[in-house]
Amino acid sequence: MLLDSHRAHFDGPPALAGWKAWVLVAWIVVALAAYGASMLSWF
Amino acid sequence: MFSSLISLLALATINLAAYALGRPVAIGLGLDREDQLTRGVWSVVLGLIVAATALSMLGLMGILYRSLIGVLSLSAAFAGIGLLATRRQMPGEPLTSTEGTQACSSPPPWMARGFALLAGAAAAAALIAALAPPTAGDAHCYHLELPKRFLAEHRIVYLPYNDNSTFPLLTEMWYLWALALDGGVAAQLVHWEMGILCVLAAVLLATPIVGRSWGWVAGALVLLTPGINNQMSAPLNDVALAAMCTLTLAAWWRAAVNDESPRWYVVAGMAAGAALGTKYTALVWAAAMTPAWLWTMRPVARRGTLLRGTAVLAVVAMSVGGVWYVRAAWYRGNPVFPFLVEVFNAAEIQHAPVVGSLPEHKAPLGQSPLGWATSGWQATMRPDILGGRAHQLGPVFLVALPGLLLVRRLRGMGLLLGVAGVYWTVWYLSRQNLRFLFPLVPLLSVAAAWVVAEMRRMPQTPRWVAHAALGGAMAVIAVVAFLRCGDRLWVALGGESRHEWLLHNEPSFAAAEIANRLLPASAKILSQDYRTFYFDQLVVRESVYRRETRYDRQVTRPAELSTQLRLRGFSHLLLAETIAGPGIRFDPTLSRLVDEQAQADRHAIQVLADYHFRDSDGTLRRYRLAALR
Repeated sequence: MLLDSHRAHFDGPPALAGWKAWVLVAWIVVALAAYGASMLSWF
Repeated sequence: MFSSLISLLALATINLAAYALGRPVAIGLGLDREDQLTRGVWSVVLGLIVAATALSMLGLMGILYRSLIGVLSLSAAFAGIGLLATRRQMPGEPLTSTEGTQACSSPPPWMARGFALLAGAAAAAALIAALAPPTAGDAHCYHLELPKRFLAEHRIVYLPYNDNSTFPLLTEMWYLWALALDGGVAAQLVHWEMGILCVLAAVLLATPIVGRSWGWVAGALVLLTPGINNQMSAPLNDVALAAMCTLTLAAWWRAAVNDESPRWYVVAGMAAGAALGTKYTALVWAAAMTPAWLWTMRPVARRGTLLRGTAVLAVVAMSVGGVWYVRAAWYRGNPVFPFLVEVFNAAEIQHAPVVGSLPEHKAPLGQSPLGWATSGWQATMRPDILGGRAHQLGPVFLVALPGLLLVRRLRGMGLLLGVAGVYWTVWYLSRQNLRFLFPLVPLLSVAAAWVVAEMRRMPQTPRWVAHAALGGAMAVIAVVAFLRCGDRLWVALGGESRHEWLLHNEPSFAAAEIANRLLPASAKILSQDYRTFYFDQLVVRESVYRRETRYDRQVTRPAELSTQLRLRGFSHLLLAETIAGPGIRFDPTLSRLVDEQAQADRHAIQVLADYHFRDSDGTLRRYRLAALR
């Protein structure tokens, strides 16, 4: 995906697949939790 | 309150004058048919660049007088008011397409309002902090100290014992302008405005990629980057550099990627010149853009146009920003001093070692493929080892950008990420300080905005979880920005005078006040502390002076110190010692020599001030201002 910038705008399904959505959500939660923990460790 | 209003009025004067200067340039470059935001941003930016160049010319000619700057500024500001009152749009449709991609509709109203609210709160917090008098260390030794000195001398003087004096100083010309009209707070407000320009630059950059409405989301993410938001309230130059680098890319994109008018190369050249004139880091940015430039050269039919355009861009950029490199080469024999001293100053550094360009302690993440791969995580989680928490990027990019692997492809995103990837890699291989990553923030914000846009295509439950998590993180960032400015709110509103506030918050201020009352303007002070902005007299940094002259080795008997220093032109000393706490440690050489002399002859040095100051981090320092007899 990263370097293939000249593909059309519309290639891809109309909705993000469920597993992709949950993978992204899991990453968001884990990364935010880790960041929150590191912030708390500063104090 | 009155002081704050005067400072805001000075900022308004600068902007009106910049608009008056930049509007004709923008029209001449054919930007009159652009949409209102594009026209407005470029008119002010081009005017600021013209003004900084004019001020640097006045400085090189030795006619930097406050009265002259004031008269010229007011005249231009009134012209700007006239232009605004009579402005009209050229007939026809705007040339800028604000639609961008049609891959995703605009953000829903609740999301647009949420981003506007949080970004507005962050901008307001930075504004409150910027309305308090400047206390940032680098501002005191460099960003404000140099323009203050230039104004006092009426010319851009060379200061051999200030390593920063031959740096690119275009941003400092804006600060000089603000100092001439008002003072340090107005200069601080100029950098706050650079943050706003960085946001608008992100919007302009994002428009052809994700569309104007999601471009505003990208702009909001720039404002909600803690490092950017924090530095907007201090007169440094990293945010200014980020704004100019982004504007360069946005203008270049219009010419080279969108294949629009070649006049955009001239616009890009002016912004690139401003970036080069702001900080050496702009050279890394130029290197990062090279692969993208080569990518655009793939179609053989376009190569001639692209090469000519690039040549124009380079010539304009060197014309605007090159003067600072020529000046450094003239005085230091090195256009990028103190970088590459091993190449340009090999003979000098043998007897007076300057800190090397790329010492190992500037790369705390190491330099290995694994370290590079995990550097995004480390940069988010451990900002304290990468220049400090004040410069941190915050969690949003680490959280959102991996989502690019899961969302749809988007025209232009690969090119944008290519520039960002090369810049990040050069940063990783050179000086790993988070503030040097600020030019990447608008690019990463555009990419993150696309991920947020694609979240709308998620099934409902994960979509709400993702929105809630990201929204909560950004709300925390906005709240922290407000809490951070809490100790400055009262002085910003005028409830406490700036003088009183500085006595409590700036360690060098009491000494500066005594010096300004008792000492003649011709006095010359040798100082262990580098915080010298509030002194009216010439203050020389002892550490650099000792490195260059080794004066301490010529003091063979303690009683000689005072005589030796007087023979060298110094009349006073500012001694600074850290007694306790985590703050910076000053080299004790001068304090030791003074104490030894005081034991041998207590009349040789007269102490004018002797006080202790406890900083906000708990550090306890002792300051002494002394006259040499």
